[in-house]
Amino acid sequence: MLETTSVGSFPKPPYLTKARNAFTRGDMTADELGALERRATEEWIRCQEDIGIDILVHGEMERGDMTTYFAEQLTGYGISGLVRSYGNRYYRKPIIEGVLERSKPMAVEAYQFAQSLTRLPVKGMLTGPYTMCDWSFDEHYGSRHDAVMALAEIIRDEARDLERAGARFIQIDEPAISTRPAEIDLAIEAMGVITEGLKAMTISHICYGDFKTIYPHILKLPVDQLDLEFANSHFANLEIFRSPKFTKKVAVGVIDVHSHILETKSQIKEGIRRALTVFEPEQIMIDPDCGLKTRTVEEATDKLKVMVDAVGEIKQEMGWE
Amino acid sequence: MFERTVVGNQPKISEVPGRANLRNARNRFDSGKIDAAALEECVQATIRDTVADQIDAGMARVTDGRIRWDDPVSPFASAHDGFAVGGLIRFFDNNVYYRRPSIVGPVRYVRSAVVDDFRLLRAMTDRPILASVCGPFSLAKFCVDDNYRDSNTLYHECARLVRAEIEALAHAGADWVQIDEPWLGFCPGEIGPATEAIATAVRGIRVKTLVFVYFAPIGAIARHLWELPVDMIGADCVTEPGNLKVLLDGPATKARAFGLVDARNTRLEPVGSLAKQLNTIVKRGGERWPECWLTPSAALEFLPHRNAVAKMKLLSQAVAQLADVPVTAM
Repeated sequence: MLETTSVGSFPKPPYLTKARNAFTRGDMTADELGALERRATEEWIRCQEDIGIDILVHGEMERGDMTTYFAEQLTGYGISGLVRSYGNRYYRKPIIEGVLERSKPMAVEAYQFAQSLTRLPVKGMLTGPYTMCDWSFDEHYGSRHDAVMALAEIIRDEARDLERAGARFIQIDEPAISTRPAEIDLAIEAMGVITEGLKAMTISHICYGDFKTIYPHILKLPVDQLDLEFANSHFANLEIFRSPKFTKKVAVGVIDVHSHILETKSQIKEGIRRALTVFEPEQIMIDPDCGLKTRTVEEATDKLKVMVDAVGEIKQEMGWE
Repeated sequence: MFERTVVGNQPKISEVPGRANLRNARNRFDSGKIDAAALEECVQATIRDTVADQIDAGMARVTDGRIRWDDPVSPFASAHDGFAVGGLIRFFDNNVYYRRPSIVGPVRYVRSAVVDDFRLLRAMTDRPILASVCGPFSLAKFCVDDNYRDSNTLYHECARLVRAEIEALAHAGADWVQIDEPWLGFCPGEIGPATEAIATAVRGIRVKTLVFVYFAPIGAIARHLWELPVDMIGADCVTEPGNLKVLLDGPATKARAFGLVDARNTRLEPVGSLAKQLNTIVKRGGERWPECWLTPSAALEFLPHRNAVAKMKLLSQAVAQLADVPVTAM
């Protein structure tokens, strides 16, 4: 009850940011960079263990952007120049230039390494096909359906590889799913291709959209858990899910990942209490709103600590420990 | 005929060597490594770069690229009274996000959010300028209203604020002002109060105005658009190809801006097909309209810098080819 987890990314420590820049300039080898990525991954695994998180993430030390990382490894994708996504944040938006194909597993190695460091479960982390398509320029397919379904087959193979590698939790992020409510059935169809036959618990993270436009239809998304942001709306979004009844497991975002300000324990507890008026306790996990990569290491760590403390107090108050 | 211009944010950063690097400057300012004066120097250098790009690509009327704007609403919400910063939300159907303001008190004009950059741009170039503001209806729609709780009052107060902004631009010497109204096409049921708000913002003002609508169809609201007391109606004809016909079918007394090249995809349209569209516009009376502009479908900031430049050049190439293609029926 009220297990704690994270959405995916953590901030890269300064030494890794410097190393990535050096690698881009050609001043560092891939092996040298990989060693530092593993060092940072281990630091984050230990950090999560120390804080007392229940279900861990590897922190995505090897990834820049959640779409571009996969696009760079797929045949048929090119990478464009930088485009802005929010404030002063930019990413290299991928371009679909030809038929999309996967030549090798893309997320398995990072998962296996992280899982080898801990006895706690680590999530296998993927970006969903609808989001991959929506956050790419398409110069090839011309049909969003065709592009999404081509990506679905690729992500399906990746998810199966993660499960074969031992992942008990597989998260297929679809933050873009609320972008075009008229296309929700396409996103559901694509997710069905991926999750059919998987035995792992499946999760999809969705954020920063208008949930009203996709609820309750989103309950048809074939995953076990929806991971949603609530702190960003000061928990006002919770009301959307009050009726009709939410039928899946839910990860409730209680930390604003785009604010430097550290939430107080009482703010988080109040958010959890409000969530408990909408969802059953057995349905709920607690996590931040989204990946914490935009914070500093210290800010992210402090936010996770206060989250876990708040959950502990709620459990005590409820007699759930 | 076929004056070219751009209609929104231009890319703020470029991979062209030697260009200003506003991304780095903003990061360094945020971490206290440079002061406000150094950041301002970089902002102005970036505006100069974006103007040079537009001139080089054949834009007859230039903008400041809205280099200081992250979205159409924040500059106004932060400059005037009555607004508070809110949660992060997606900008329509793009992988772009902004902090949705809340209206927490009476909306009151304080000091123009845009006139300083208009003056800056005027000092940089002799080219005609297209200034811009967020339209009153979209300004209201971009916000959460925690104060008025009555949409008509909210629209009216936003209209008064936008009117003051347009007056400030007119006073500073602007001859054309773009009024961004992306929400119009998404809310056909509110077109009555929306157009009333726009009319309140522009009626009697001594500057020419363009209402530009993007990302949505305008067919259902066309009659109201044409009746607006503005000089020009412009629309995104890529996301909604049917908007082209709506613009063609409008009254001869109104100027048009055709958003013909896709501002949201790197794929370059064939020049020939654009030239055919231009030929159709000519055939349908383009030369008789007061003005006829060609623009991207929306802000080019959705593209990397080099692709944005290519899209502007494409408009100029299409005009150059215009005489060589057969006229198509519409």
